[in-house]
Amino acid sequence: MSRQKHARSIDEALAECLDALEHGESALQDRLAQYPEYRQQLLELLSLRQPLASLGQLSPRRAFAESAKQELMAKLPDRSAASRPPLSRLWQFRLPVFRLRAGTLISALAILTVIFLVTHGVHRAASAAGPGDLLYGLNLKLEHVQKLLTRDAKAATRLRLDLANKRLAEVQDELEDGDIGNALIALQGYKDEMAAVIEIIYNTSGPERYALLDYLARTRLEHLDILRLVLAKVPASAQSAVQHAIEASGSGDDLPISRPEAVPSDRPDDGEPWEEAALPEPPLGTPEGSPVTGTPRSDSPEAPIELPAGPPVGLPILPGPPTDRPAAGADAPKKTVPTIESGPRVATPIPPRVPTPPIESGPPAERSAPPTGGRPPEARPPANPPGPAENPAPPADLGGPPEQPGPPPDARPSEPGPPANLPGPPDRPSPPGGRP
Amino acid sequence: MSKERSDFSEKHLLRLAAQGDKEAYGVLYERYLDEIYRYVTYRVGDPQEAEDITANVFVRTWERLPKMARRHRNSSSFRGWLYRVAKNLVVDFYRRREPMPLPDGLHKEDGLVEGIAAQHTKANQLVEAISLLQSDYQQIIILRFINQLSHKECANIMKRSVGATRVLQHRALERLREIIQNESTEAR
Repeated sequence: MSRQKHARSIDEALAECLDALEHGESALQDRLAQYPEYRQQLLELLSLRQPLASLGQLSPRRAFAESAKQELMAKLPDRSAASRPPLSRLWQFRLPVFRLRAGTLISALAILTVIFLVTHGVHRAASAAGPGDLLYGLNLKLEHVQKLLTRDAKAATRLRLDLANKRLAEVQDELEDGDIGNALIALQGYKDEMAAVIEIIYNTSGPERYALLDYLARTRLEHLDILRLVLAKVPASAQSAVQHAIEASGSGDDLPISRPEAVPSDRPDDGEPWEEAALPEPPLGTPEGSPVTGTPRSDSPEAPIELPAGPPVGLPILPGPPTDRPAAGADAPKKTVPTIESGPRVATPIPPRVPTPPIESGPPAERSAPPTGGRPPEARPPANPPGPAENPAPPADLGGPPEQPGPPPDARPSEPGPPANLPGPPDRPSPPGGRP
Repeated sequence: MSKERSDFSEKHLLRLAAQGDKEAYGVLYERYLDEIYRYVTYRVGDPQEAEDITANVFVRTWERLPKMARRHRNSSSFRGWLYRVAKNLVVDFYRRREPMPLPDGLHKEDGLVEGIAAQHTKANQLVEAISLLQSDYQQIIILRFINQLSHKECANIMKRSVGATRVLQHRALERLREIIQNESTEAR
C-alpha cells in the first residue's frame, strides 16, 4: 500500500517537475523542494528530458520531404464529389432551404412511411373488425373521430348512413356466423346511427332538409329490405330488436323523424303529435278538398307531373321549413329539390319506387294513395304558423291522383291529415321525439 | 491558393479535405509530416521503412477522412487520429518482421543522429535504448518527450487516462534510465 502510494506520489512529482521545468529553473527548484525524498531520483529522470527533446530535431530526408507531397497527391485516390457513388452524393447533399442533409430527410421520410403503413394497416384491420373482434372497439373509436370531424350536415348524414350500412352488413355477417349476440350489438349500432341521422336532418331547414330526407328515403328502402331478411332469420327472442330497428329506419307510418326532445320550442301546445301539428298549410289557391300535394291537380294548368317538392316518399314532413318561401299556388313556380349529391335538381320525375313498399304498421287510410312526395314547401304561406283549420284536405304527399279522396273525414276532420307513412293517427301515443 | 489555405484553421482544412480538396489535405500533410515521421522512425528504427509507413499513414487517413471528419470534428482529434493510424501501421510492420534495434545505417546515411550526438554525447545510446523499450514505453517517450505532446494528447492517442499516462511516463523514464546505465556499465 505504501509502495503504491509512493509510486503514485513520484509519478505526480515527476509530472509536476516536468511542467515546472518549462517555466524555468527556479520553478523546478521550488517544486523539487516539495519532494525532498524524491529529489535525487527526480533529478536523474529529469536529466533525460533534454537529450530526449533533442531527438525531436530528427526530420525526414530533404528529398523525401520535397517529393513526398507530390507523390502523395498523385497517390491519393480521387475523392472528388463527382467520383463518389451517386447514392453517397445524394446522402451528403445539403438541401439549401432546410439546411438538412438529404440523408436526414430520407431517413425522416422512411420513418414517416413506416409509421403511415403501420397506422394504415391497423386502421384497415380495425375497419374490417366486427363485433366481438379485438379491434372492434378501435373501429368504433375511429368512426367516432370521423363523426366529430364531420361538421357539415350533408356530409354527416352521408357518413352516418354509411356507418348504418356498415352496421347492417355486420348484422348479416354475424347472423351467418350464428352469433346472435354480436348481431344484436351491431343492430344497436345501426339504430344509433339512424337516430343520429334523424337528429341531423331535424336540425337542418329549407331545401337542405328535403334533400337530406330524399337521400334518407332512398337509403332506408334498402335498409328495410335487409332488415326484413334479418327479421326472418333471427330467433323469436331477437325479433323485437329487429322490429325496433325497422322502426328506427323509418318504416312505413312510423318513421321516427321527429323533433328531438332537446328542441321543444316548435312543438305546439295542443298535445298533438308535432308532426301533424306542424304540417304545412295547403298552398294558396289549392281547391278545397283537393289533396295537398306537391303534384298539381291533373286539371290544373300545370298538370304535368313534376318534382315532389316536399319530403320524399315515406318520410314525414318535418316542422319548421323556412317561412320565407313564396306562396305556392297554381301559378307558383316549380321548385326544385336539391339532392344530397348534386344540389338542386330540376323537374325531377316521380320516383320509380312508387308505391311505397308495404309496411306493416300504420292505418290503411294513411296509405290510401300512392305517395308521390311531400307537400311542396312553397305551399306554406310565409310567416304563417301551421293552421290545421286551413287545411281540411288530407295530406297529399301520397301522390295519388287528384280525384283520389283523402283520408276519411272521421280520421281527423279539423286537422290536416298527415301524409302517408307519417305518424298520422291523432290517437297514436307515440311522442314527438319518439325514437325507438 | 495554397498560401491562402495554409492560413485556414485546421477545422476548415479538415472540412475541405473531407470534401475531396487535395490542396487542403496537402497543408495538413505538411503540418504533421515531421512529427509523424519522427514517431514512426523511432518506433521502427529504419528510415526507409519510416518513410513508407509515414506516406501510408497519410494515404490511409485520406481514404477514411470523410467518415472521421464527421466523427471527430476538432483538430486535436485529427492529430491523435494520425498518431493512431501510424501506431497501427507500426504494429503491422512489426508483425511482418522481428523487432530490431536501430540500424547503423540510420546514423551514417542521414547524419541526423550524429548531429544530435554532437549536442549530446549520449544521443546514440539514447536512441538505441528507446528501441529496446517495450511498445507502451516507446510511445510515451516519443510522444511526450521527443514530439512534446501534452499529457492530454498522449492520453487521447494511447486511449488511456491522463493519470495513466503520468504513471506510464514515469515508468518509461525509469526503464530508459536503467537501460542507459546498464549499457554504460557494460561499455566500461
